[in-house]
Amino acid sequence: MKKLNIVLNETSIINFPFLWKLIKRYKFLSISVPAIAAIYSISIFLGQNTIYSGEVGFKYVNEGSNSPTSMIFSMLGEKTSKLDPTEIISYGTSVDFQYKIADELLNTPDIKKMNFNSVGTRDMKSYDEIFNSCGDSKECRRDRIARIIGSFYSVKMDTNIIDRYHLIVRTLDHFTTESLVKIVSKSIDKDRLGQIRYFVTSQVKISKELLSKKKEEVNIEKIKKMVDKKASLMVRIDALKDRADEIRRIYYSDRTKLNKLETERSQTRETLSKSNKSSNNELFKVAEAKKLKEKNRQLREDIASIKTSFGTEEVSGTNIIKKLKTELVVNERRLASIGNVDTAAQNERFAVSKENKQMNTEHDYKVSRKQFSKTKVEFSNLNKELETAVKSAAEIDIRLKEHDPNLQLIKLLEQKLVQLNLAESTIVSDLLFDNFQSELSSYKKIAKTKMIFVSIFFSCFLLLFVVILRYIFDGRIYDEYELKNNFEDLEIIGNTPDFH
Amino acid sequence: MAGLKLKFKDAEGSFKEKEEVAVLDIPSSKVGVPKPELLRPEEPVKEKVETQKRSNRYFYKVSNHHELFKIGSSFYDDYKRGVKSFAVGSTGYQASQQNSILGLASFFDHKEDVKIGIVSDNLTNGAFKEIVSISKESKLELGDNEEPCTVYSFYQHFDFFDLDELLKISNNEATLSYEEVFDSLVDEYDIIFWDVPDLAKIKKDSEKYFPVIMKFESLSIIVAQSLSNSGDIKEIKNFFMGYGINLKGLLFDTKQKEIIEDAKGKNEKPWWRIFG
Repeated sequence: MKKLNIVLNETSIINFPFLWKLIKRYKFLSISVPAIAAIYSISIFLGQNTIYSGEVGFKYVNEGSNSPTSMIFSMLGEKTSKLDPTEIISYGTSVDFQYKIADELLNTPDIKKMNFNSVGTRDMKSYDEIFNSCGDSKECRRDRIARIIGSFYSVKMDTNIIDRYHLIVRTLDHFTTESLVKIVSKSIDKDRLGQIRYFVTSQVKISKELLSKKKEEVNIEKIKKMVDKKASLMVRIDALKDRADEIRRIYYSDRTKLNKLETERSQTRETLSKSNKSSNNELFKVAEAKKLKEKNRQLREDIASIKTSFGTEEVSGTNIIKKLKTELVVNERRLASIGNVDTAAQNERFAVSKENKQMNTEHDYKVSRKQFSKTKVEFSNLNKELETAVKSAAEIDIRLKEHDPNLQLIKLLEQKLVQLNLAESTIVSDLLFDNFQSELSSYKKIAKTKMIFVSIFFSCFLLLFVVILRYIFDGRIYDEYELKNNFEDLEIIGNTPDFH
Repeated sequence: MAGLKLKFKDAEGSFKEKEEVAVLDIPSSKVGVPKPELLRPEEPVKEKVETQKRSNRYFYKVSNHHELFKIGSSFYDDYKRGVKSFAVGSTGYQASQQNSILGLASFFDHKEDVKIGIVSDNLTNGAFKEIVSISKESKLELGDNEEPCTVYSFYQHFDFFDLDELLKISNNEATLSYEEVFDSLVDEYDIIFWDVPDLAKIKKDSEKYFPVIMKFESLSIIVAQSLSNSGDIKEIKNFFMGYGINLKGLLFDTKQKEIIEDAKGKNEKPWWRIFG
C-alpha cells in the first residue's frame, strides 16, 4: 500500500517523475515491453485480411402517411404492427432470420463461389473445405451457414435521418459481399411482409372465432322472430294511431255539435215556457196600446188635414182641432199609462217562431246524440287496442334490449371482419429498400494509423502496468526517497563511508 | 539500555562500578521500543593514555568525507550522551559494515583521543583484513580468571577482537563467565563497535549471541542501494527491537551495487563470447 501511495499522486493521479524513475530503473522491461507490443501490433496488422464492404439503405415507412398499408389500415380504422428500431437492428442477430438467409443461400446456384471464411480468420478455407464435414447433409450445411452468416452483416440506424437504416455486409470476397447484400435485403423485406401478414391473418382468425362463438351463445332465430314481431306491431300501432286520430277528430266534432244542439233545445224550451207564462193583461195592454197608437196616428192626420183645409182664422176649424188635440192628449196619456209594450211584442213574435222550429231542433238533437254514442264506443275500443299493441311492443323491446350488447358485438365483429379481409388483400412491406446499393469498398479491419496509435497507447499502458507491478513486487530499495517512505520511523543517518 | 551501568577505571587500574546517574533525553526519532535508559558519566569519560599515536591514514583514505562527518557527528553526539557500544548490521553486506565501522572508528580517533575496540566475527576478510594483518597481536584477559583472548592492536588507534573467540570464552563451561567477558570488554574501551554477524547466524544460535546483543546500546542498519530488501531490513529491525535495542537509524550504501557488479563483471564472460 505504501508503494502504491508513492506511485499515485494527489493532483496528477500518477506520480510521473517517479514513474520515469521506475522506467529508467527497470530498463530491460522498459525496452522489451514496448518492443513486444510493437511486434505484436505489426504482426496483427500484417496478418489482417482485406475486407470487402457493401451497403444498402432502407427506410421504415410505417410512420405517418408514408406507408400505403398504413394509410389503408388507418382508413379502415385498423392498426398495423409497428417496428421498434431495436427490432429492425435485431435482424442482424436474430437466429431465426439467419436460418431464413441460410435457406435463401442454399437455393442460390453460385453458393460455391462464395467465401464463408470469417473476416478475422488466419486460415483461409474454400467452400468445400468448410462444408466438407457435412457431406451431403443439407440440414448440416444450413445449420453451419446460419451459424456463420450472422458475422457477415449488420443493420445500423442512420445517425442523421429518422427511420432510415443501413444493411452493411462485410466479407473477404467481392462477389460474396455483393450477393449477400441482395439476398439479405430481399430476406428482410420478405420477412417483414410475412410479419405484417401474420399480424392481419391472426386478427382475422381471432375475429372469426369470436364471431362464431358469440353467435352460438345468442339464439339468433329467436331474436329475429322477436324483431319481426316488433316490426309488425309497430306497423299496426302506426295504423291504429292514424285511425285513432281520425276518430278523435270525429268524436270531438260530434260532441261539440251535440252540445250545441242540446243548448239550442234547452233554450227553445225555456223560451217557450216563458212565452206561455206571460199574462193576458199584458196581451191586452199590447192590443190596447196598439189601438191607441193607431187612433193617435189618425188624430194627427185629421188635425193636419183640418189645418190645411180651414186655415187659422176659421173659428169652426179651431174648435175641431181643439177637440181633436184634446182627444189626442188623452190618448197619449192613456198610452203612457199602459207603459212600454214593444219588447213584449217582440218576445211574442220570437216565441212564436221558436215554437214553429221546436220539432226540428228536437229531431236534430236526438240524431246527434245517437251518432256521438256510436263514435264514443268506437274511440274507446280503438284506444284499448292501441294500448295493447304498444304494451306488446314495449315488452318485445325490453326482451330485445337484454340481447343488445351481444348483438352490438356481433355487429362490430362482422364489420371488423370485413375491414380485415379488405386490409389483408392490400398488404405491402413497410421497409422500403433503395434501388441501388452503394459501391463496394475494401479495407483492412484496423487501419495503419489507428494501429500505430493503438500500439503506442497499448505499449504505454502495458509499460505502465508492468513497471508498476514490477515495482510493487520488488522489495529492494533504490534510493533515499524510497527508504524514507518505507521506514518513516527511522532516521536516515547518511551514506556509508567509502575508502579509496 | 535498561540496567546498563558504566564502569570506570580507578587509579589502580581496576574496574569499579559507578552508581547510576541521570538518564539522558534522546530524540524520539531515535528511540526504539522500549526506550533505552542511558547513563551519562559524571566524570570525564576516560583517563588519557600517555602514548604517542601515529597518524590514522585510514581517516584520509575516505573518499566521501562529507558523509563521514555527517554520520560521524551523529554518532559522536550519541557518544557525548553516553552511548559507547555501537552495533552496525546489514542484510548480508559485511564489507560495507566493516567499511562503516572503520570510517566511524577513524572519525572518533581523529576527533578525540579515545580507546576504540572493534569486535567482528570476520577479521580475515573484508576491510579489516588488511589492518588486522599489520596489527600487533597480543593477549588480553577480560575478567577474573578468564582465558585471555587475542587482541589485534592497530598502533594506538583501534583494537580488533574476534567475536567467535569471545563467544568461545564466554561459553566456556569451565568458567561459565557468559556476560562477564563482554562486560569487561565494554568497560575496557571508551567506544566499542560491533560488526553484527548475519541475522541467520544469530538466529541459528541465539542463546550464544544473547550476551553480545545485550551489549548493543545502539544499532545502525546498512541498506545497500538496489540490493537490500525492505522485508529483510524490517526483519532485522524487528529482531533487535524485540531485544529492546535502540535503533539509531539507517546508513545508505550507494557503492555496494557497483562493487558487486564489478566483481561479477570480472568473473563473467561477455554475453557475445558464448563459444569462447
